[in-house]
Amino acid sequence: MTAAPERNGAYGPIPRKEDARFVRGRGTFVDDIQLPGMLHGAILRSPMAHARIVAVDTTAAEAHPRVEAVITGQALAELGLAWMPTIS
Amino acid sequence: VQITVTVNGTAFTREVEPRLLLIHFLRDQLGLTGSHWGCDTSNCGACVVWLDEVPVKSCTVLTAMADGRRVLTVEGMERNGRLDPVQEGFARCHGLQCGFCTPGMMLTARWLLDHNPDPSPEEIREALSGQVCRCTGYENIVRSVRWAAQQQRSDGHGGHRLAPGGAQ
Repeated sequence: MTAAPERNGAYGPIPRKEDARFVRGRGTFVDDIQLPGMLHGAILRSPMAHARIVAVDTTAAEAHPRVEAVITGQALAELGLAWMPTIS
Repeated sequence: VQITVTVNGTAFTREVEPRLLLIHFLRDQLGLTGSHWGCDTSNCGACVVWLDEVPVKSCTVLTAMADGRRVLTVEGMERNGRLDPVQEGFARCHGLQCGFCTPGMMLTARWLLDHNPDPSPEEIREALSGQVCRCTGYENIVRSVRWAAQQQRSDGHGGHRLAPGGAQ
């Protein structure tokens, strides 16, 4: 090894294109996105770590005037969407 | 409650709920999404901003507590089209990858360099110990702050202390 490492060109550090906006606070992360008519979602999980779901009562949530939709596992199953997106 | 907060040199008067956290006020009401809402539990430091002269975790500050005070966010670090040496250091030394923790890291680093212009790696790690980065392993963040320290000593950068009265 005789040559000093190149500081420019193919073997030198190259500034990343995205850093200019990241260091200015101008990245766009998912929670930064605002779209017209955007709704908020909340996931309600079982309070039990290991239990059988006997019933899910959504009537109170559906009756709320500002709730647009209540989606349960059963509703997703009827649409063929009740699968877990994992790589297994 | 009605509050007036000076953010990055501009005064904003708004009616806010007493429970509204400062991070949500900055992001959702002022549209300053550079400050990030990471853990909501004061652990991660992605939400760090300055309140007057001190870095705070804005997920643990009520907006009402900022009434009459000054806030500095990442959007206010660049002055007159010139990056803060800390911002430049993070870009040059690969002090970030995904960029999520970066605003908070840089604002705490700015405070450190205002108080200690030549911090050791140990002092930098201590200062940033309340903040989490899942990309870099911290090594390049320490290098970035060291680069900034050296840079501002050589170019006479005066730091970013907020001027009294909110003018910046």
